[in-house]
Amino acid sequence: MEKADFLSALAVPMENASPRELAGVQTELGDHIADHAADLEAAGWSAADAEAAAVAAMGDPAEVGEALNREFSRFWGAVSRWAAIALILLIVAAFLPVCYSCVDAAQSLAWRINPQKPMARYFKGLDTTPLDIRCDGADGDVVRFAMEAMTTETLPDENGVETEWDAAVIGVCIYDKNPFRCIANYLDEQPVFLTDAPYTNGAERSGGGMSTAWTAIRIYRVPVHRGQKTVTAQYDLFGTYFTVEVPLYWGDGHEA
Amino acid sequence: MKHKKYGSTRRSTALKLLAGIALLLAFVSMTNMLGLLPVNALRQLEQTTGTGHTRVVCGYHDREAGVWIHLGENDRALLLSAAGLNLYGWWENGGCPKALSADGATMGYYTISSIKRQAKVYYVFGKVPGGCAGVDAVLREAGGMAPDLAMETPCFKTVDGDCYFLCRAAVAYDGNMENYPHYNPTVKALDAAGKVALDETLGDPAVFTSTG
Repeated sequence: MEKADFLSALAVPMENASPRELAGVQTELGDHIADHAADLEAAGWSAADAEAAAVAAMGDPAEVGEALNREFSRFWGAVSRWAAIALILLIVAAFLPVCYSCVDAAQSLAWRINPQKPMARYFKGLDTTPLDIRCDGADGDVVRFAMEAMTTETLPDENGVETEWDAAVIGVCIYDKNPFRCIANYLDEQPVFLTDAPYTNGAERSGGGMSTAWTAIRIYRVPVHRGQKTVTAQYDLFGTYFTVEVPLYWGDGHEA
Repeated sequence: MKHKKYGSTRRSTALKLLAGIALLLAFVSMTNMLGLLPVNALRQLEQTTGTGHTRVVCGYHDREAGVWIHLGENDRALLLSAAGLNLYGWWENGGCPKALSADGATMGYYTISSIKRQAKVYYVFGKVPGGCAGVDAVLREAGGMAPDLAMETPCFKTVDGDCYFLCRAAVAYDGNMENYPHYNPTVKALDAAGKVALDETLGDPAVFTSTG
């Protein structure tokens, strides 16, 4: 029997193997026969005799094929196929959320590295002072007071008289220690600033901001008394509580 | 004859793929990137409300609202979450965190309005420390014109000696507020000794109302 005939006969009982697997088996056994034949040839055998002897040494192709066929479990083949399909579907389904998460995490990292940069747009025309006061918020959040500026606005009081009002504009950056986790942004009210200075008609305590699920920039316009040295920020969310005195840098001769 | 273990290759390929699936599932589930289970909505809400990790007291599929409701608790808060199914799996569809009262029972209130389903579903949830003999919740029409609507109690559990409850009631709702009577949930709970531990009418509409 020639090598090609042996390999063809071997394939008949191997019904569990896929064409690719069968080709792999045939290649390997073909190489094995060729190696054996080469050894015999080196020992002085003729090429035809060497191949015939090497093929004969392999045994009955039907028996070898049946033995090999038992190694190819249909069960594991089916599991393999369905697992591959499931993995591909899962990768496709997870692709967009993972991309979004990575983008948001990158933004969270960028904002925590330089929180003053995204805040700058809210401080246009103001003489700003960078701050770096970090406090632990709820559930792994970090509340970072990062920028402030003092401003004076002329607005009507309750009697309609134009009056000068002082306010501290304070930028707060909130992020989670883990850049892939959301911040506690649902209630959107922490921290708060405590002040006994009267509200002005128009100057709001909240000066805007922006946020994603992963990080937030909040700008507070806090009415203060001229020359006040600090303003108190308070955070109270589900058992996590702190107060911090944020220093006020007037910088224009208004210091107390 | 020595030959390669083809069968073990097939098995090892399958096992490697299954391990890959398990790892990916664990990753997306733990990071909440995909909502594989309705309870993932509770996990999302824990982060966005700041309550921290909660233990699931009960889960309930509300067919009328088309959401899964979960009630979670920890030593600081109760958290009710509503999970709706969207492209990313089970996603939080709103919910209500409630800080635990230091001196007694705690309760919260949440509504889901669905014009598509023509229903407005009220949920009242709470905790009575030290156990609870029973809870009686009704929806009371603010104007007093309509009779009280009894609320059913899909969850009433005692965990570590404390009682947790979740009551709900659905009323017909077509989105037209003019035709819609305003209801206030009223809850009465008796503690383990049979004394009134909670007797409260929640007058304010829920802050975290969602529309499904």
